[in-house]
Amino acid sequence: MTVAGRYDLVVVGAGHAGCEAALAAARMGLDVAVATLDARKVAEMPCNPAIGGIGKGHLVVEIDALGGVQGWAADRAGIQFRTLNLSRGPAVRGPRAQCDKARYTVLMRRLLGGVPRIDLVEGEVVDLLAGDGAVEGVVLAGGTRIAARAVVVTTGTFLRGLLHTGSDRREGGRYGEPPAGRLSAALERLGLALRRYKTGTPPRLHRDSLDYGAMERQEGDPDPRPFSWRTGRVVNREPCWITRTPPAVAAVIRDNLDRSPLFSGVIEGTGPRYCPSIEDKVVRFPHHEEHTLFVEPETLGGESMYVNGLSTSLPEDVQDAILRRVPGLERARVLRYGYAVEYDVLAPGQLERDLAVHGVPGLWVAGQVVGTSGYEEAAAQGLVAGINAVLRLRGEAPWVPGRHEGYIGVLVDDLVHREHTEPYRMFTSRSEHRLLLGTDSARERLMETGVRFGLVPERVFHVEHRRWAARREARERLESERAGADPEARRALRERLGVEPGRPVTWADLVRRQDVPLDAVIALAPPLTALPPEDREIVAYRTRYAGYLERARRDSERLRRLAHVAVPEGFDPRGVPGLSREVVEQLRRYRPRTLGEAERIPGMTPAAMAILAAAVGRAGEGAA
Amino acid sequence: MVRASSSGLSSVLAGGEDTIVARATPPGTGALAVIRVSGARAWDVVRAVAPRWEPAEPWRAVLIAMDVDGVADRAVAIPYRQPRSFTGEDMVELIVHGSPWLVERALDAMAAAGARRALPGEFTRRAVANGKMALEEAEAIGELVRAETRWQARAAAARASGEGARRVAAVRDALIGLMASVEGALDFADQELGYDPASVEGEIGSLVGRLDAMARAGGSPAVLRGAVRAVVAGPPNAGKSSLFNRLIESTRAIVSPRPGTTRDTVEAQIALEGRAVVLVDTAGLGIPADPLEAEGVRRTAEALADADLVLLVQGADLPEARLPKLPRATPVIRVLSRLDLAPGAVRDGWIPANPATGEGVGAVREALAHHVVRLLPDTAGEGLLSVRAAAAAAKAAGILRRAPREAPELLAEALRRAAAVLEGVVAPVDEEAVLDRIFSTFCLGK
Repeated sequence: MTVAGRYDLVVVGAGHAGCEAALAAARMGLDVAVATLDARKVAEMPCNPAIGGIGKGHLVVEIDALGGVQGWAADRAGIQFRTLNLSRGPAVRGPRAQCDKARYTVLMRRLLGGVPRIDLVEGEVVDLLAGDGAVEGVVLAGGTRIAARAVVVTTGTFLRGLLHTGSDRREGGRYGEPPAGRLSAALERLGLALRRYKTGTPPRLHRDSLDYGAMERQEGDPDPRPFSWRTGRVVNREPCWITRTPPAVAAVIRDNLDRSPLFSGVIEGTGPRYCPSIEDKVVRFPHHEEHTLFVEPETLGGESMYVNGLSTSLPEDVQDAILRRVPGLERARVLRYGYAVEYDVLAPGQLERDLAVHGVPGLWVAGQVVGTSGYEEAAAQGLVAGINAVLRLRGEAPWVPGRHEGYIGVLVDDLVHREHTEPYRMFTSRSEHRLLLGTDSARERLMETGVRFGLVPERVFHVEHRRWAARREARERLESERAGADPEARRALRERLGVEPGRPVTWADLVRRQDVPLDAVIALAPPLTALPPEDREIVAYRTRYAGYLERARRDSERLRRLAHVAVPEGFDPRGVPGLSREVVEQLRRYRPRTLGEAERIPGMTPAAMAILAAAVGRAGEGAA
Repeated sequence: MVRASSSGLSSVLAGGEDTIVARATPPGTGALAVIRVSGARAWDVVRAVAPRWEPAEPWRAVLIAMDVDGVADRAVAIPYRQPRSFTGEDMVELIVHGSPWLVERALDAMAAAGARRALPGEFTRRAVANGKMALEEAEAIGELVRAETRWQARAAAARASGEGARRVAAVRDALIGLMASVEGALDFADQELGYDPASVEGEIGSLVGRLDAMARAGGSPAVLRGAVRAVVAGPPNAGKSSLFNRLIESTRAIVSPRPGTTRDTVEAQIALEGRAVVLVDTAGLGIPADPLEAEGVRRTAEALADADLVLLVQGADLPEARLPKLPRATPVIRVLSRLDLAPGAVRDGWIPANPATGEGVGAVREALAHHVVRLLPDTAGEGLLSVRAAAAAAKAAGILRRAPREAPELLAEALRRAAAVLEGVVAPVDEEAVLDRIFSTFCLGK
């Protein structure tokens, strides 16, 4: 297919970042070309067959509130839904869906195909067209040129991709797919610094070769909930399975460590510490006798099963030896062996706040090529880059989501302002506003923005808005309505809550009492029973921990004010008394434009912030 | 101090590398005086007063020939190479003859050679900025320099060793460890990273215990202040001011009698048994007759609330004054005065005295000394924290105590806040206002 056309935007890559970027930009009115190596492989899940989790699920819900599509696709392709941390507060609950990978790809390809403004172009982008320093399009292998006013690069793990299994080394972006090496060189020619990261994936096993009697069955939530406002209802269709590696596996791995490219020094890239290979785990946690494995279907009823927790780049015969020793997997037939992939990413410190590349007008990046890990992190960036490419072409101010607005803001801010030395993954502990950023409030925080960009229909927003008003009203009723106002109600309190109120109590008092089971109060309090089930708990939680939430809101306000204080152009931290040398060096390196940005710089302490704020204030006075 | 320099702001802002110089010993004539120079050009600058000196080996004292304004003299110079110096920068300490003229001219010469006269506390401030000492130690050094009594000096020296700062840092590190287990369990609920609530509870309990001990650090407000506040109270005309004056007169180490914040309370600091006592004279207790008096009574009540010790003076012939409710365990020394007006009036537990003539004042002073030694025991200086650090420990302990255990995400929040509260103590930097206060009370050159 050869399309030599002229577009507003070219998106390089059709993964999770590329799809969100292209869809957002097209729905906001741009003509978009999506260039991909293989038009059948849209929004692939080359690693685990799941969307969401703790931190990641938060991102998916935020993408959805903004009008992105990942949550909707995960709902539609989902075969098992589980909310992690369900026993804990809404702030840390992470919704997660096992997905049918094939269906996910089909859904996303249909979605792209259904948007007239999007053309899918098959081919390898080997160069960027640059005139006067600004990017003006891309060049495909074979010489076809596509002119564009902006380019978003979302190449995932394909830049100089190198696959490792034992000593076997092949060039490739993913299993069975060629890498994109020449684009790396093009980025370097533009003066960009690249670095090597590494990630890995476990073996895939044939469904019929596993012994399920030897494994533990893991079901989805009894009451599964969807990610998206577009989805009415989801159902669990297939279980997952849990097994463990016995000590014998550790012995096999230790005996063969010299054959792992990770330990023999062949792999130079830095891998993620939070998602280590099995050989990493054995070396770093020698006191752990067992490691848990989750066996997950890759498609609904399909033959391929994914062994979550067994990521490895050991040679094939060692992988066989490992599998033979794991209960349930003894006779496993390997469909594909685990491998590690090394790839180029953009070194940190080269991004603008809207994910544009610093010093290269017209160029945006998103996804794994920025140094992140995960489908959710990629999709979130794709959405931000796509929206901002549109805004820039319209001559409007960029949209920079704030850290207080959501994990999407935390993600962008961290990528722009912080150093990373391993693939970046979202955790709830990355947010200083965690209590306020639960999935329960994502739409309250972000949906209005989605409406503003035309990515969320107004009527949907109005429905949600009424729901929030109902929550607030329920909250007020809890605080004002007396529990046990008449003898019959008092009997209910006594019998169902074990409470004999000596003096008048409100429902809110009961919600806050540690000695009364919260579930029972929720089931009994009329202000709560009037709400839809998922809102009851949300309101109860917000009532019970109102003090903590209020403090968190005050802290958040304070930080937000800091974000409005500009650091004067050319401010030199070297002469500020009281700042440590480390802090001065970091300030000179990251050149924050506001105190809010300064605060996110690694090594900044609250105390250093106070000193800096005073110094910036004085410098401002001096200039006036 | 930073604010004071704002006229020279550009020089301060521009000169991260600038070299500072100051006299480190008290002004006035003495046998010897010490001049300190710190900064990248410290060694060079000294050659403005010792042109033939070729500094060779750091950390070795050498006798050098000085030439100050044409006057030849000798001095001992100790050059230091960064980072192994008090400030963490290149430094020279010059021990010169203690002539004020010589010292001033030498400082002028070095200033002409490019050094800047140091601001109060600037040497210590640089030491903190360069990570040579924690803020806690810097505060203690400031207190050591200002110490007026033996007890204060010993307490400050114990603190300057950094022991208190190390204890705070140890608790903060333990908190960070605890945060790691709770945060890990929250973010990796799908992995094998759960935490054992019982062991976390145990660890929080032990941290609260350590923080409580630090909050008490040495115990009373008197210890934290390094001085006993003794408030003289009683009905009008009972002889309070006479007793106050007698106690001041009869101690030789008068530091400063000064009027209080209102015309109604007067404070003076004296030394008893090597310990500082702040005597506070108050307006008479009783029913106020007019608004001015009412203000005086209010001030008296305030003074009493802050008292470590109360000297209740009661006229033998006057109706008994009622003391307002005092904090528990505040010792009261009872003094019965105006015995000349009611001869033979003796009361159990009261010290008979006639402050006007000085009769019985010795016994009052003995009783006072007895309580002061008890309030400022010799062992109290060890591991002592500053008022600020003790307050941070108390705050952190409160946060941990109230942390909701049933919700790990709220527990995690509490751990974060407690660590942030302690951060201000051990971090090499702190709020500008705090730094200003600490450093501006340093004497020049320290």
